[in-house]
Amino acid sequence: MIMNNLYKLLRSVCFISALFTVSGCKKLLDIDPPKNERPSGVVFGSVETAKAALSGAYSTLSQSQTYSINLTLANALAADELRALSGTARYAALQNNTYEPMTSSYTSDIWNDSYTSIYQFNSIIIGLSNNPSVTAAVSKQIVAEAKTMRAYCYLQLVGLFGDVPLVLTTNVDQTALTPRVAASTVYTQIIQDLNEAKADLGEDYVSNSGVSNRMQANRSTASALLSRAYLTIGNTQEAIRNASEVISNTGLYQLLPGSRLNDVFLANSREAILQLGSSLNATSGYTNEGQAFVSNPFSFSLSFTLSDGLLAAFEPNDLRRAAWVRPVTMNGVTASEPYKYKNYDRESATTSQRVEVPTVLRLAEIYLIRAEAYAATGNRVLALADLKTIRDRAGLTELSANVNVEDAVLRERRIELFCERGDRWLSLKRTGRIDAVLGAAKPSTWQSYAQLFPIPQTAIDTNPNLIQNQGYR
Amino acid sequence: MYKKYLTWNFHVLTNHNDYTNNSAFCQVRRLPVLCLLALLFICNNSTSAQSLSEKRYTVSFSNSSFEQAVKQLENQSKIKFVYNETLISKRNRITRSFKNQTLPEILTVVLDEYNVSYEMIDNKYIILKSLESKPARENSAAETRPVNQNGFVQTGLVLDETGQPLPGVSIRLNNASNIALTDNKGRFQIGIPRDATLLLFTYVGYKNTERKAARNQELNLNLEPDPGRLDEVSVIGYGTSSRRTSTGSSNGINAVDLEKTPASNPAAALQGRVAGVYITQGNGLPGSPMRFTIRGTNSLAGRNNPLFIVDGVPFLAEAINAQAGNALDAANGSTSPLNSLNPSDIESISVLKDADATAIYGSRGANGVVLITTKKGKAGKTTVEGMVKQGFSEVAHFVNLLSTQQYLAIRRKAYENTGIDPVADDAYDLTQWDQNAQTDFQKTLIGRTAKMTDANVALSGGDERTNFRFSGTHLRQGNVFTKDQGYQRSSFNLNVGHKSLDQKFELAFSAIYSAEKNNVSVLDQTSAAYNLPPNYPLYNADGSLYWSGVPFGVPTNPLGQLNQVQDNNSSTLVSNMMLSYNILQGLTFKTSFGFSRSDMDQSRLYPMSSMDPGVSWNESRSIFANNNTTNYIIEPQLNYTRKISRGSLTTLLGGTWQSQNSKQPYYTLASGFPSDAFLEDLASAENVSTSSGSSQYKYLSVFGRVNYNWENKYILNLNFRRDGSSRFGLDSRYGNFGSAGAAWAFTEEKFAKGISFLSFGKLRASYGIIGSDQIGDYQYLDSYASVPYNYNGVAGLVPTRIANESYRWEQTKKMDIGLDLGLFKDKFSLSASYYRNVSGNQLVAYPLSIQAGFSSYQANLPAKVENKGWEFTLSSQNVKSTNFRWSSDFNFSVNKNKLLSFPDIEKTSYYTQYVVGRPLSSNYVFQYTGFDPLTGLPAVADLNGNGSINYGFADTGRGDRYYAGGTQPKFYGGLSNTLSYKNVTLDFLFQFVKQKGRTILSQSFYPPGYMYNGAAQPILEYVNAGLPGQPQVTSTFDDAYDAYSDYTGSDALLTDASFIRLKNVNLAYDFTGNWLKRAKMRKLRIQLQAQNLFTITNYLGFDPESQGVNLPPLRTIVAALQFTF
Repeated sequence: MIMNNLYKLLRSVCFISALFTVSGCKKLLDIDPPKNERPSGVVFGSVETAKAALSGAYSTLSQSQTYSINLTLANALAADELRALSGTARYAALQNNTYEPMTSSYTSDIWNDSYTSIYQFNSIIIGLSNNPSVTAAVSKQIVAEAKTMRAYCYLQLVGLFGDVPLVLTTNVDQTALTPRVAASTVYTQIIQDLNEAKADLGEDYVSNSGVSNRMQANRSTASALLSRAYLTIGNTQEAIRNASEVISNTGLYQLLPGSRLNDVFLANSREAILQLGSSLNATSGYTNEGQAFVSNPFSFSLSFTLSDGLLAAFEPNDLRRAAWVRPVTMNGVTASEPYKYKNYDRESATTSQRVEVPTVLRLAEIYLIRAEAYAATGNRVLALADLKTIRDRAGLTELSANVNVEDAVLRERRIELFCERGDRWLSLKRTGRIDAVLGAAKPSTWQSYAQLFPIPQTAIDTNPNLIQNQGYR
Repeated sequence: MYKKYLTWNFHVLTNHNDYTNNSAFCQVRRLPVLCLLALLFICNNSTSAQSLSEKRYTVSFSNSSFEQAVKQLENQSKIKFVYNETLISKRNRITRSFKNQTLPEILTVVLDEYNVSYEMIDNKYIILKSLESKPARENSAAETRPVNQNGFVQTGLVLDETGQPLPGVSIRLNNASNIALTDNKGRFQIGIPRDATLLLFTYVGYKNTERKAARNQELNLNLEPDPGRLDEVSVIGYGTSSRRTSTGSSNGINAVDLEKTPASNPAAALQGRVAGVYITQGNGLPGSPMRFTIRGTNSLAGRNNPLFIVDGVPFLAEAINAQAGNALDAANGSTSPLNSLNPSDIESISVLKDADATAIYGSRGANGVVLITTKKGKAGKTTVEGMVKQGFSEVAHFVNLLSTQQYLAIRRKAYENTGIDPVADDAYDLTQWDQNAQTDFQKTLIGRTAKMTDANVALSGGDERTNFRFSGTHLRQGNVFTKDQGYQRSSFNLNVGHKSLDQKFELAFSAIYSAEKNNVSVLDQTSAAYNLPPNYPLYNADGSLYWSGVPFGVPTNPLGQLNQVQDNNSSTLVSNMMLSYNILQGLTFKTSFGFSRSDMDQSRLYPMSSMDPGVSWNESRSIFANNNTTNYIIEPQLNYTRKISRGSLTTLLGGTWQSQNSKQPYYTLASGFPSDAFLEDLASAENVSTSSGSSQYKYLSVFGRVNYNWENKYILNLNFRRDGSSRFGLDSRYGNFGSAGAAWAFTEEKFAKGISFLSFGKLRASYGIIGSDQIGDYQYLDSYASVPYNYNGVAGLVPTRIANESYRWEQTKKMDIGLDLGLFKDKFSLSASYYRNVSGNQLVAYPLSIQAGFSSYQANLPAKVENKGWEFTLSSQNVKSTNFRWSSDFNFSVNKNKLLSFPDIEKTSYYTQYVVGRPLSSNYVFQYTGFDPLTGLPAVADLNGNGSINYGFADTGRGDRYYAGGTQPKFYGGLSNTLSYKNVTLDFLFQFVKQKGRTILSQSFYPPGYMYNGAAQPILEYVNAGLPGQPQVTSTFDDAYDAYSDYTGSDALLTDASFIRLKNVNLAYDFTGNWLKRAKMRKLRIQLQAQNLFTITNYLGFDPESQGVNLPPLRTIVAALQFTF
């Protein structure tokens, strides 16, 4: 009886083993994906997960070192806005514009973080193309946001590095070795992306669970970025047109009055066009800028001060100096700290009961873009009118009619947008004044080639088709 | 002479339970001869507890012949009758009935009829002998019959070389599956089915001996010791082999070696004992991980774990909590999975090294295979074995640190040099703490004696068909930290084996269950013990813990850190069932089913009492993690053995299906508790975040082996394997592996017979290709993972990797040539191996230009890594007399590792890590040029002449660090000796390693002058060098700081880290005497064991094996009592 059963058992074991060995059965090797991972097919198979992928891409961008602080820090040091007071060795290369391909982690991070995010936006755009699983309307919205943000990243790359590889797919065989393309080609792609996105984006911000934030791109975001891009490539008409679209949207956007300059960088500020969540935590209420720039009772020493040149550029009684610059003294060292963001940690945010969010795009810049574009087309009156809007808010008098408008716009930008994601650095380059200005500010170290950051050595090491910017070893 | 008619009185039992009172006798009727068939009526009243002679039978014979009667009795009694039929007359027939009678009673009657006497042996056999004294010659008819038709019982006596009886010698037959063992007196009986049967006597440590069975004759023999252990069975992949017949390279240790060490981790017992296997212990904390390097490092990616197999079931190489999700480590890193195995349950550990031995494991064998086999029950008396160990461990060597006076002088000098105000700089050691206080922190923090208790007991026994062994153990190991911490293990091990009556079907089952608890601290206190300023106050005047209130720059109180609670509870179950059936002569089908499961539950609590209350951001928090891994394996196998010509062919065909599931149900971080009392109550936490993870691994393969052995002279062994692994993309899952090995035992040749001193000589060689799939799971999967925070109210998903569907196995081509010699009757035996392994197709995180989205993806790199080396193993039986014996074992290994080639390395990020032509793990250092007389600071050479000191390699022109040798040992080995005099046995093992290291100063990140203490000698040497103003002493980030960090990265800190360590000592005394027998004890032994007793080294620091500032492997001394009933 027992033996009989054993025979049966053995027979079935024989059968099973024969099954393994003969068929090499694929199923026997099939495994489930890990519980904390979803195959991309699944991710782009439903509205919720597709939205989650977009949310993840925004997260990565806002969490990255570059888009939370380095853009501001590196560009402000490289230009003439900021000076480091402690840890100077770390910032010396930036301040002296002697950054190198191998050693400068700040410039390398900008490259690395941008392409990391671009990969994510690319994977969303590709994942949702011709994808019937997600309703067309939702799909359109998500893809348009992804294109806007991809354009935003490229705008940084092309502004800081010049020609860059234009990567629009996730296929490693196509992306790993692709060479740099002309900056103009990149701008063309940026403008095409933004225009396509603008057509598909709604005017209102995407709100989730009824909470409205300005944390995802809307149509005005695309317009604002278009005005920036067009201004950079010299298409002033389009720059003006897109800027005007945003400015005229007074239902959504208004400059805060001079009395409320302290509120400009709060969550849902009426002035904000795009806020990139908080880099630290969606609900923490403080920013990396605040943490980096604002000294606090636990600081050993002061970190940064605004440059003397910038401080001197403020006109007397400029409300912005009182609101956005903080004079401090510690251990006998004095500094003027950038004070646009005031919360330096969770506790200070809780105490102040003010939720600050990194603001990527805001209305004041759009006025200044339009002013610069008007000035470039010779339309002094409209340019001065836009400048007046900004100066009024700052409690400053109107400029005289015979002022050099280009200079006036540049100086106003310098004050209004100091330490905001490298606006000064890009403006000096855009206006072609960088050699003159920085040559004067840093006579012993400035070299013209430094206006383009070096391509990270690791990127070149792994892609022999990349050619380093001129001037770098 | 035959009695034609038999009358016999027998007991008539009114009540068989009362038969002793019965005295009635009856006459038995004579029945007519009616039929030739015997009528059989079975009435077996016996219970199993009764011995055979007490069992009662009812049987009747009706005109039965001798054969019929014997058969009838055999059937009924289940006892084998053996006799020489030529000697027994067959003419008589018997007709009788017996009712409820014992076998002896029946036999006496029946056999008398045939004029035959009997003898019952061991309740198993009945041997029949003719009482007729006629010479065999007379029976010519019988002589012409084949003489081997009937069996008999062979009895005999086995003695050792000194004439002492050898118990436990196993005796097998060449033509039947009978097995017997010698008893305590060395006696044995075994049933022999026919003449010309050969008996094979085997006993560990003795030569296998063959003798011809002899009828009616005692077989007495002396076994010859086999110091070379030529025929000792060693476990290889899916089978066994021996030194005589193996074609491959494998070494190992067995239970005897494991008994000699007090180590709780079986891997520690391998240290120094096995050639080609380099094992280092990460630190001295209980449960600490052991790193295996078998014949060098093959893989650039860094995962070089061998494959561990316990009783046929693949075992985790990495800690349970490292299988999926986030790993929550303790101070010891993570508990080594091998620690869950109780060394005293292990029968043997075999390490397979070359292609011939490892190819049968195909894609997993490239880094070697470690086979662990647990003990099985043996036929014979039921045995209770036990061992109780009690002992302690302590740090063997402390480092001589700066005294308070020396330390403060350097500190003051630093502030003098930099001009910084110590008050403003929070230099509490100069401004606030007692300038004369001096605490020996090494003694305070890591100076405790850790107690250890280990008790185990095993019950085993069985007979020829069924055996079992069941054991239980409990181990408790303390820690040297000030707080009561430690490691506990309880485990059970069950082994059951069974064979069917016809010996064709076999079953073996083994199960190990082990539960572990480890609450060793999160932080190794050694670094605090080394670094704390000597006048640091641990306590306030009121006895409470001292806290500085300064968040950075002042060390936090290490005793506070001990208030953190770490609790790891894990359990492991490994079970395996093997079924085998002998289908035909030589053809056996086997299947093993394995299952293992490991669980780990962890929590770590950071109460406020463990943190400085003066630092505002400190808040209590806790972490909880849970992990489990389940593993199934099914391995059907077909074995076929037959003789072809003068050789024997053994073939194996098998398959494997393995499925491994790892899960991390949760990894939870919680903070914001109302008070320390709530740390384990998640509901009260303000912030809770949880992540989870899982991974799966499946594995499928077919494998085969063909072995052909021509009279133990020429041996050929071929292995092949085709594997599929889920770690690879759909199109590249399968790979083929194989090896060929050959051996030539030249001493079997005629020409060698004349060489008297050469008793055994064998040349062997093997070559093969083996794979490695030691990469993470899912690298081919294009997937998204969640991020732990929301963006704009939506939980995010991000891409996890650039998926690559096409990467393939890493491949190692292994070549091995070996020589095995036995000299002077195997008194000396020597094994030498030369190997060369080349690993190519390196599976690595292939560097990508970040523009592709990720900086790397899983891919094969064309780089080649070479490992070559020599291994020697020498055993010698130095002295061998009745009372005194001395034997030695020596092993020696050399390994050279080299990055052979790496096309386009300069285009990868590996360019900053490796140099072609150098070992994978190398010392790249600056060239120290002495103290600069101008600056007074240490200087290093600008080797690439670019005007500055750069970190890159001088070899590649990118920097100034030059190659100063590999970090792996140049050579290593061990020497063990066993001396026994009468009842006393002494074993000791020296381990030696020749290697280079960096002095302990390299562990001081900050230059002298900072608030860190350190080893006195190198610091004072540094401080006192150069200019009288000692500008090299600093307390801030300046030129002196940079100069110091260049100095510590220079060859000035290279040092000889070689060592000779008395790894193990074991002194045993075996009690003998009659009182043992009266106590029914078979063995009673007391032992004194020590581990890491002392170390001879020039290395200045805690320990040359672990180097660095972490708890060194401890010195352990235990007393053990071992007994067997």
